[in-house]
Amino acid sequence: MEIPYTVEPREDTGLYNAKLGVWLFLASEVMLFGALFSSYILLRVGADAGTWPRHWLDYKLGAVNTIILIVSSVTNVVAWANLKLGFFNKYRFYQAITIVCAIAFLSIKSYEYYGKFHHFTITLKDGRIADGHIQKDETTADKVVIDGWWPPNEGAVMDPPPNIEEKKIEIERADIVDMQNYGPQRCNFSGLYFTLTGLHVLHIIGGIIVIFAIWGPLNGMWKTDPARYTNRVEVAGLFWSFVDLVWLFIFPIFYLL
Amino acid sequence: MNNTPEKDLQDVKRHVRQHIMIAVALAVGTIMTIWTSQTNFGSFGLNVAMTLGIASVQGFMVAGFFMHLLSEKKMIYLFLVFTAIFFAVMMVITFFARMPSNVIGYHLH
Repeated sequence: MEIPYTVEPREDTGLYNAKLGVWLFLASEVMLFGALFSSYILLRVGADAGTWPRHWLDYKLGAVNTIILIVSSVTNVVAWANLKLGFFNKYRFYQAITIVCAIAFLSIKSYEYYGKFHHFTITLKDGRIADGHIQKDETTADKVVIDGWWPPNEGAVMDPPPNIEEKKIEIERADIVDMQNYGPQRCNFSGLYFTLTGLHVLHIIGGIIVIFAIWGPLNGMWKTDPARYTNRVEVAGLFWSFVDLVWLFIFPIFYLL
Repeated sequence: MNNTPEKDLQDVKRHVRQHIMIAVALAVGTIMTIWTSQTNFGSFGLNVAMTLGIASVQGFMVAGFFMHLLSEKKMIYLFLVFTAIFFAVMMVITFFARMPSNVIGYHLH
């Protein structure tokens, strides 16, 4: 059985079916991310003064990831435009750059996540607080070693000053009252950060799988049905641009404000 | 050999140039968001408004040019109008949650 309207537009909608479908899907995605953004607003506005973390994330890494996603969106659109003209090899070249950019984005994100799970705030019995990245090689059953600093109070942990001079700190485990990392369980900010960026990462992974599949294993369709193949590339590209768009809002609210 | 008409080739070249310019504008926008977030305008609310304002312009450029929303069919605009309405309702509900109980007409005691 032949699937109708994979290439030619339907008379009533003016669109081929896959495009109609992907826009409906993107509309539902707006609501999904919108719900999380509204949760962010609610929790952020409701937070008591001084309890909402600032400068916990490295905005330079976030900015690099933003540029990477912008470049990937451009190469994605340029790849599709070349395919429209029948330049299959150029399409393959530009779409390969898109895939490389996606992998670069995920690598940087992984590095950031790793850093958060190895960053600890340690409260000592005498009331002092130490904050820094754990040194696994030197940490033993009796002592914890971090590269970090001594925040004067909880407020300084929430909004650390710029250019902290980090040094090696050794703490006896017997002196520790509480020790928690910067994972999603830490506070509302961390929970939202990991939920929103994690969902975004899942979208990146989904996008990369689809784009790669069309680019590689499924590219035989280019020979049998080039118009339909081109439409597949366009639909995947729409999703990819949407993922870029979402990141343009995630970046300022978590990394900058 | 590809036998694409010259006019189509020129059109695509023009589009590619346009997309590269948009990408440059987006990169500049990213730098501007960093600048607005770190500059003291006298009120943190102003920082938030300016930073998110620039992010919104960037979002418009991605949707308008990369997703070709500026030249799409009426059906897609219709979808997006409904999406915008539902999104706005969701945000209004969020703001209701922040209002004092006597403003929205219920009392806990």
